[in-house]
Amino acid sequence: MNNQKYLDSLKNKTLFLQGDEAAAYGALFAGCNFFAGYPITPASEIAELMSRELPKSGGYYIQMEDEIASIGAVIGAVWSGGKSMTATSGPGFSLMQENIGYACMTESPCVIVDVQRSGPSTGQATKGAQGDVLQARWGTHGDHEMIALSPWSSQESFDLMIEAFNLSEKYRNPVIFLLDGEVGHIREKVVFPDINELNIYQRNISLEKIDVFGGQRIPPMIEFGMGQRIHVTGSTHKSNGMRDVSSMEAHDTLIRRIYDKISSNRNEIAHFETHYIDNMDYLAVSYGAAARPTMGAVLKLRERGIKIGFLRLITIWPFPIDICTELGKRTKKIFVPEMNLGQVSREIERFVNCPVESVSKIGGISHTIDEITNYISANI
Amino acid sequence: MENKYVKYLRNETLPTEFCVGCGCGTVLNLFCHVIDEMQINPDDIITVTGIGCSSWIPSPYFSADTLHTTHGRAIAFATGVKVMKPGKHVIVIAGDGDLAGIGGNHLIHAARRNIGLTVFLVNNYIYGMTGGQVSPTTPSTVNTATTPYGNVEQPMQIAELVAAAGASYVARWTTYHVFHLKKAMKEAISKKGFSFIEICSQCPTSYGKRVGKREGIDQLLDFKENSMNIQNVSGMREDELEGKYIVGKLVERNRLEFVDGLLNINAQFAEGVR
Amino acid sequence: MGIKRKKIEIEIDERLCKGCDICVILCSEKVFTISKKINSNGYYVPIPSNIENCNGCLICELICPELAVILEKTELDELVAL
Repeated sequence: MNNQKYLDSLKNKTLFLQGDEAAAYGALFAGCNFFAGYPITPASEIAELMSRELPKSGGYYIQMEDEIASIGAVIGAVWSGGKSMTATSGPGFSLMQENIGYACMTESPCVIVDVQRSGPSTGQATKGAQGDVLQARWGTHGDHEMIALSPWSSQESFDLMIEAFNLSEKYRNPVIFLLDGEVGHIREKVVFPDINELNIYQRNISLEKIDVFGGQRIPPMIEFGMGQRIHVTGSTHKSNGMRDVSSMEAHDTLIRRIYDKISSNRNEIAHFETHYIDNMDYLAVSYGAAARPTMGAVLKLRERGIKIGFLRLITIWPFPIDICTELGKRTKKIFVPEMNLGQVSREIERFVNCPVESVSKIGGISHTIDEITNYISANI
Repeated sequence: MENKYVKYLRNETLPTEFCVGCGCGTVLNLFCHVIDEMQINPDDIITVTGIGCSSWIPSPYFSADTLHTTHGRAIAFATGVKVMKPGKHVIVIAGDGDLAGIGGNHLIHAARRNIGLTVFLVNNYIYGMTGGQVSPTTPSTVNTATTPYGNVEQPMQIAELVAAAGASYVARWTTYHVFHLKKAMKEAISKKGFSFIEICSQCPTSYGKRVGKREGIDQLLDFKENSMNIQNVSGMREDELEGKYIVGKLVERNRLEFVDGLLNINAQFAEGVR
Repeated sequence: MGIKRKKIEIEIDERLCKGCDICVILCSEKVFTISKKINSNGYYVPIPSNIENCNGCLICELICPELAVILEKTELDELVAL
C-alpha cells in the first residue's frame, strides 16, 4: 500500500487514542516514512504503533541498539530522502543530544519526540513530568536555536505533530516534540482529517547544483543519490559543505545564520492560546499536562470573582517572548503551574517586569485544580 | 602528468593532509582503483564516515555523496542511508577508535542485523588524530600518550568479533598486501549483506614512533615479515601468534540482508496479502 | 610464438608526492632512487632512474599513499621470442 492509499483509509476516522499514539498517527499524516527508535517508558507506544503502521504506508521502522544510533539513523535517512523521526524519554533524550546538535549544524529536518518522565537519571520511569524543557533548548553543546512544541491533549498531539514536521522542513532544523507521561498516556477522542485537506510542507529540494549550507538564510536541500556529490559534515563548513575549521569568519557566518533563521522567525513559529486576557488582573501561564488543571483553576477562580487570564504555550522554543512581554504589562502577577521546579517560569521572568511565581509540582502526579486554585487564591 | 585515478578525488583538496607515509592514503588509492575496475559510477556511492584520520579518506578526499558524522556513529547514520537508498553502495570508512572503540556497539549490531553496508575499518592501533592515545587495538605493553607505563589491556580482535556477530563477509589485510586487499575490497563491495575488512595500517606519526618504527615503510616491512595467512595458523598457540598479523578471509556466507527483510514485509502490504 | 613486448613509463606527480620513499624501498627491482634535490614543496621526490628493470608489478602505483606514481604500460608491436 502506498502512503496516499493508506492515509485515505484513515480519512475522517474517529479513534480513542493515547497522546503517544495520536502523535504517531500525526507523523504518518505528515508523511513520515522512517522511524528509528529504542524502547523506553513512557514513549514505547509510539515505536510500537510505527512498527505496525509504517510498513502499511510504505515506510520503514527500525529498532536500533540505542538512542544514539536511533537519532543517527534518523539523520542518515533525512539526507537519503526520508521524512524521519524518533521517540524517546529523558534518559534516551540525554543520549541523543550530541547528534541533535549534528542535526542543527547540518540543518537536517527531523522530529524528536521526548515523552518526559521524572528525572534526572532513571527517576520515576512510569511517571510524567515536564523536567526536560530547558534540556530541549540547551541539551546539545554550542550556540544553536531550537524549536520545541508541547501539546496538552491527544487531539492536539495529532495536529501539532503535523506542524512539527512542517516547521522542521521549513526551517531545516530538528524539532523537539515535548510530550509528557500524562498527555502521552491519556486516552481521548481523536478525529482524523482528510489528508487532501491538510497543509503539508514539502521539502525544498534543488535539482541544480547549489550551495546547500549557505548563500541564503534557509537554503534548499540536495539529497544523496542526485549525482551532486554533496558533502555533509558536523564540522564547521563553508556554504558548499566543505570543512573549514580554521577560519573565524566561516564559523561566525554559519552559526549566526542557523541561529537567526529560527530566532528572527520567532513570532511565526510561536503558537499559543489565550483566555480572558482582555479582562484580567492576574495571569496564569502553563503548557502540556499542567495546562489542563490550570485551565480548570482559571475557570474556578473567575467564578469566585478573581480576574485571572490564561496563556497556554504550545510553542515552548523559540520562547514566545512578545506575548509574554505584552501580557506582563497588563497583570499584577504571573503564576506558572508546571511539573518541574520552575523551568518556564524562569524564562518568563526574563521578559516581564511583574512578579512571576512558579507553581511547581514534582513526583509524577499532576496538579489538581484545587491545588492550583488554592495556591493562587492564597498568593494574590 | 596526473594519475588517472585522481579523477575520483575532490581535486581542490589535494595534496592530502595525511602525514608522510600514512596508510590512509594507500587505502584511498586502492579504493579508487577498485571503483575504477568495478566500473562503479561514484554517483552510485554514498560514503559515510566518523571522526579520525581515516575518516578523511571519504571526507573530503573521495568524490561522492559524503556524510561525515559524529565520532563513532558512522554505521548508525549509514543504517538510515541504506534503508532509504538500498540501490546505492553505502560505504563506511573509519578507524579503530571510531568503529571499534566509541562506536563498537553499532558495529556489532550492524553485523548481526546483516545490513548491506560495506565497512573498511582502517586499524592503525592508536588514536592518531588526537596525538597517540591508547586505542582498543593497541597491543599490550605498548607505551602510548595515555599508557606511559605500558598498556595493561588486551587488544580487541575486530575482524573475529565482526565475524562472530554474523557479518556476511569478513577479511583482514594490511596496507602492504595491496593486491590481496584490492581483491578483497571488490569482494566486499559485491557481497550482499554486511561486509567488513579490517585493514591494518601504518601510522608513523602517532604509533610507529612508539614502537621503534618511525617511518611508514618501517611498519609496512613489519606487515610484510610478520603476516600469516589465516589458513596456516590453526593449531598455533597464542604466544606463537604474538606480534603476527593474521590475514585472509575469515568468513563469507549468505544470510538474509536486513533491508531486503524490510522490503519483504512492505511487499506483503503492497500486494494486499495482509 | 611470442608475447608482445611492453614499454613501461613511470612518472612521479610532484604536486602530490611527499617523499615517503615507500616505492623506493618496496620495489623489488630497485627502479627508484632517492632524489638528492629538494623540490618546491620541500620533499625529496624519487626518480625512476632504473626504469629498464621494471617488471610492471604495479606495487609502487597501488601502495603510493598520495596517488603520485603514474605507471603506464604500452604494448609494442614487436614480439619477443619465448
